[in-house]
Amino acid sequence: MLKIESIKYNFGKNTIFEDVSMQFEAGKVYGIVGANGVGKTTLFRTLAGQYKTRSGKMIWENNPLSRGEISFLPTDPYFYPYMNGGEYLAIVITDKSKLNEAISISDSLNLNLDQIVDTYSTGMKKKLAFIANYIQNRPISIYDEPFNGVDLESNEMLCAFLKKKKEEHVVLLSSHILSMLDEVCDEILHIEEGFKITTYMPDQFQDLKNHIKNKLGI
Amino acid sequence: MDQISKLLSLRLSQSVRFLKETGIGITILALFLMTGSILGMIETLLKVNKLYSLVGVASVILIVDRLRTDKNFLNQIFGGKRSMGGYLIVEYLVIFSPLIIYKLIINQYLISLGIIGIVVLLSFITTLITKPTNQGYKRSFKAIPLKYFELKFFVEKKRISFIVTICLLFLGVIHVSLWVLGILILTGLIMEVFASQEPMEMVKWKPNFVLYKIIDYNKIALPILLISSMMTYLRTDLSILVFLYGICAIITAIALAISNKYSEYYGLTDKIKSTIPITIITFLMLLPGFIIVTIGYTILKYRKAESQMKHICSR
Repeated sequence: MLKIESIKYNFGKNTIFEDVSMQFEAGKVYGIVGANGVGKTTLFRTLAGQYKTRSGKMIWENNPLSRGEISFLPTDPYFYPYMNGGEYLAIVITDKSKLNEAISISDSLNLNLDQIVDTYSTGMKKKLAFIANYIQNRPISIYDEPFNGVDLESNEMLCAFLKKKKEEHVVLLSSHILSMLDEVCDEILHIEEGFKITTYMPDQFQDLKNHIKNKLGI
Repeated sequence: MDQISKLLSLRLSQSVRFLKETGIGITILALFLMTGSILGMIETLLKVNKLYSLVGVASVILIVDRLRTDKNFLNQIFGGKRSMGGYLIVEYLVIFSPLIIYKLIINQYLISLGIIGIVVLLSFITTLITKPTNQGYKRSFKAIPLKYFELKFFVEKKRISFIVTICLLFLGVIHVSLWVLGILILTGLIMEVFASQEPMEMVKWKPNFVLYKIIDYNKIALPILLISSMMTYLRTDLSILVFLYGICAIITAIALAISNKYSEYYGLTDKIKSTIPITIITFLMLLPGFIIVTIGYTILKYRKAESQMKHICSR
């Protein structure tokens, strides 16, 4: 189980979240939703160790969370200039047998691994980074808006991969596409202003939709 | 270890692909023309006080660490500080290997060991520095109007670089080399200022759009250049031609950077394709006489930029 206890993060004087506590169980996919700028990405980056928490603890299976236990797909994945898709996978994935699996997934997602990544479209870059993250097989997987820019067919495949992934892992993902979250998530956490979190179970997903509509008065 | 060797071989492939994209011809030309000055610089660097080379190595590592954009990615793929530190040691040792070997050849074994020690120590220390990819907020710089948005955004992002460069130009009154250094850095910064492209909604197109933009930016640059050059000229024995050459070089750099930006403008991406060949051509003009080549290239780019903007915006 991944436990977050009273964590805080701020950019200068601007506090993004404070005294936030959460728990995530293995075998479940958690959807994180909320308005732009509410702090979803900051929370993910903090978990991934890219931002340092100002206070609080992050615990995985009763031990302090270490970076090696997390694979993180950021909104804009990083790629070295002049690198091709195959080189990216070879660097991120150390296990040779897994690398072959990654190559076959790339084929099924129509990715040309000989092509320079700089010339990929947004969706292609997303798919490549997703594959590398998926194959890394770390116990906690975080995906920040994995469906953005990806074509319909590939999105369906990503959903299937995520469902398969959750079997032994904690999977956290953010998205603004409620229908995709509806398909893969076991719980949805709605973050509102002031980092107020409301949890919705699958039979309550419609309530989340209604809550947003009521808020907007439509 | 396997991952480290893969990353190093990727670095090599990157260099080969970069050379192919830039053009072998232009790279060889640049190397040929710069050999004199580079060799001179290396010779000075190698001869400096023993302790200075250690300080130099430490400074280079800290600067590279500050500038590199791949730290979060490396953290992610190595999953631990120890293995990431191991990679950084190998990478920095490769970079400093000529200096280490040279120090060994001239029997400065302790200095060689010192350099290796600094590389190991700083490689591990820099893994502890978390570098956010997004600072979240920036301070607005109201002194520059939004009309000069490229400069305004650059100054808001890299205020220190901008202020230091302008100060260097005026510090020419102390020593002319500071003015020359200011001109060199300013030339590089100009390329960076115009490396991004604005969305179509921000373009207020009119005939001779690119020319007006070049004139507008030179209206800001010229007073600064003229005053700093005049102040420096009065305190040195150098010919006025040197200062005129410097001013011409900056005007040309501004014209080339703006022309290059709009010659590749489609309003679809926020970054221009590649500034490397343009940067090389810009720096070549700092060699006496080469400004003619750069001006010729700028005219070609300018014509392309005006026709591209007319094509894109006048529909």
